[in-house]
Amino acid sequence: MKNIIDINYEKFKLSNGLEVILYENAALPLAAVNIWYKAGSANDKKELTGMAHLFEHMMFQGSLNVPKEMHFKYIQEAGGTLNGSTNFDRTNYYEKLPANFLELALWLESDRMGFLIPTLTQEKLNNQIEVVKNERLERYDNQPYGLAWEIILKNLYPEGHPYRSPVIGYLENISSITLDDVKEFFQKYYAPSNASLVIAGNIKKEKTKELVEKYFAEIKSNTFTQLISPPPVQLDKNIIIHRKENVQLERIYFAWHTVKAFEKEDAALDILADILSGSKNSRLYKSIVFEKEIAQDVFASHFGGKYAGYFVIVSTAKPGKSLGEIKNEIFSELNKIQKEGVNEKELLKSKNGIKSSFIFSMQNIDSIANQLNYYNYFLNEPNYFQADLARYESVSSDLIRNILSNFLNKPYEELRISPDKVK
Amino acid sequence: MIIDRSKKPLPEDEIAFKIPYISEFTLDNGLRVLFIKKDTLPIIRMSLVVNAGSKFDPPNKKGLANLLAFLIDEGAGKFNALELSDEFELLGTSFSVSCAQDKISLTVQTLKENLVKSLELFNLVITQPKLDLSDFEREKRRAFTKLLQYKDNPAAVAESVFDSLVFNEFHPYSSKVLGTESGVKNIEHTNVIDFYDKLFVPFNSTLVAAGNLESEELLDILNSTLGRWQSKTKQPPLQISASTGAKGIYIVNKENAVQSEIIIGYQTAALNLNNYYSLFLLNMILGGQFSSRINLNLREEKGITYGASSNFDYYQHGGKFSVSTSVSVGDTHLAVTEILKELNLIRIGITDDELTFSKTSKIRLYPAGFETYPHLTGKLFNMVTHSFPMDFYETYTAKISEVKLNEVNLAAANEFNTDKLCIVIVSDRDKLVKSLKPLDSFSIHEVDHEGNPVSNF
Repeated sequence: MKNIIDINYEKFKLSNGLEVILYENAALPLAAVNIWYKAGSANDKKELTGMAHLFEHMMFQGSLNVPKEMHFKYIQEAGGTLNGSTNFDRTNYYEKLPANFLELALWLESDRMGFLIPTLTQEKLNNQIEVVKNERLERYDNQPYGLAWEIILKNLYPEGHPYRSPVIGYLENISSITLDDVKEFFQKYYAPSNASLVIAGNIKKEKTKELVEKYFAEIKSNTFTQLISPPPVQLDKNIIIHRKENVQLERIYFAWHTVKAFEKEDAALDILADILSGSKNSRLYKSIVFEKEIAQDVFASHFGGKYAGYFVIVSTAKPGKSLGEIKNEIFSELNKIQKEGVNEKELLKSKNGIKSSFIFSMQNIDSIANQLNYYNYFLNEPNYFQADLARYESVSSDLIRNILSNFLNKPYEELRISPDKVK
Repeated sequence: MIIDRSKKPLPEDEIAFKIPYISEFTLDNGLRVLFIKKDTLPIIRMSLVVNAGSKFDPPNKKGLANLLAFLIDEGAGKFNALELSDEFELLGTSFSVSCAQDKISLTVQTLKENLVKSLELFNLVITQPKLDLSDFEREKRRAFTKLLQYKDNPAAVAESVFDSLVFNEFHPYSSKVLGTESGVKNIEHTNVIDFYDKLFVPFNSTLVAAGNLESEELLDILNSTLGRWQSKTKQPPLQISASTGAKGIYIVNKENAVQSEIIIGYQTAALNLNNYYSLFLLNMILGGQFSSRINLNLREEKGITYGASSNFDYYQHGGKFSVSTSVSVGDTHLAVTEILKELNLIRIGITDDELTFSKTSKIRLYPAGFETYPHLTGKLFNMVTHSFPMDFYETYTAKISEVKLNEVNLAAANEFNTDKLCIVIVSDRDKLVKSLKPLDSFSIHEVDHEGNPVSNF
């Protein structure tokens, strides 16, 4: 079983600093290309929130040898799929395509890594600003409870913290981004020395190395380094926020400061989230959704990033039920775990589920490629699957009790969203 | 080394890909099994696909099938709901139930080492669900609350109102799977039990499976589990009443909405292999992928949306065509007129280049559709829903490459007729009405979130 998640990769660095990770897997005639640029919304300037994400859009607008709209079209014509995504810590770009078209993907990725700037125009920028504004409206402003996370982040993190603003950015900031801002962002962050490239699938290593050398080696690197030193995060007292919205049901959110990715308690926080709300017989689901029926749903989760981490619990009240009662139940369960810990069966259920999910996640070559980049980004070791699983397997009831006293027993942020009129 | 980047690199030799073999067998009790062996990982995934979707909901009990899907895993055999959930979790096995218009599917995904135990639990849920009264009441309240939450989701409201209009109220696909408030209220405990007894029978179900084992091994395990499942009654045939869809513009008011959710389309026939391939390619060009006409126009040229797409959705006994997008309220009129323009334009015909692009893209993309275990069971699921012939997937790329330009153009001319369109817009009514100019031959109506007319408009 263990060797299924032991990935036999090869890693090397080009002289311009680009890290390259190759992984051969001939299960299907497919190749996955996955690039991480080590810049995300954490790198946005305060008055230019949404910059990293808008930049991701500009990367699909063509480059020196690729006309607008043709980046997508070339990959699709080859029978491939593609996209990109931006989060706090990084931006990624990926393609999955028939293995015989690998060179096409490397040509496209290298063209925009090296030669994007000459083809940027105000017209393209204006167009994508409008697209991104609509993305924000569709995914956040026009969704029920859609602004909750951005309110939580803004209040959880102090001024100057890299996670204080939403990845998508604020509308007024998105609109104000200029062509010079885009160019500056590119020149700072989109250098080979700030990126890592994973190529996985039905590839031949030697041939692939030649292609990587051919397309990426001549791209100039830069010497820019940005040191982000986040201000300390600590809440001195509880922050309580009430908000009215056009929604049917009340919802309550709690957020606590925790640890960064791969810090000691990171895996245990994931397991705690699962024990609280991951299944029908989890602590909170059973108590407030299944038995007392005061909540329609409850959801706990942990996020650990490069600069900080938070633990959240969210629950939607049943019609006519009070958020106060839900809050009492949540805190009484947390106190109970702090006093008594969790039992062996609860731990085993979580750990067995996590073990299966590691194996289930090996089905997609593109998700393996992205995970190799993820581990490499945080740990400088792409093949961390087994060690990562071991982190979860070693979580004990005592560690979970420590989490409760060290993190969840501290001041928190509470957000309540209620219907704006009596229904 | 300076390289010439001006030319797009050519592919290496064409790759070889063999479509996996589909085994088909029938257990002694009449349960049909479709299976694909896949040995890349120690995983087995299977779904019991029961012909028991919301299309069987009685007119005054909309939401019945979905409520059975909610209830069926709330305890089985000697396990109550919580114990049953624990048993799956202890195995690290994922189990889920879903209900759609045509089918209820129960899906299990397990590591091979836990196959036998997982399948025993799976069998228990299917053949001996408790369906207890107290669980029924709780799940009914949960469904009812979900119906309240549904009102908050503009995309879901737009889709459901669209369905209620393009299929008339007596049509089995007219209401959403979750049902209606009055429908769920009317459902009694005995209704759910009757529904289960009538429809959860082997000859009304198909097991679709993909996994790392031989078909003989699978057959052995099934013979001692699902093979013992006995039929109780014979299922009555589904009555489908013919219906014509509404045309016109239908506005659903959502106060303070900052965008309009737009769906434009009409009712179609069920999937028919005689025109399926032509329509599929046609839709790719129109709105079926990123580089389609509609998306490039509304997103990459006008910048008025994050995305716009079109789709043929086929059910077992019918179908629908729709274009959907979301735009700022002030851009609603522009979006609607541009979509109508594209629908009229494509009737004139497509170019050879567009067809070649769609064909090569689809054919080359084909192997990636067989990558994961869910991909494979999904393909088998489609075979069941649309009664595809056994060689459907094997002949797919050949059929696509045989499609001719004149066939697609004929299909385009016949298919899209802007006179029959139903346009649903979920938006802030007062703001919308100010910016919406009259559109030829489209009357404007206001409806509520279930598609019922609102009188004072």
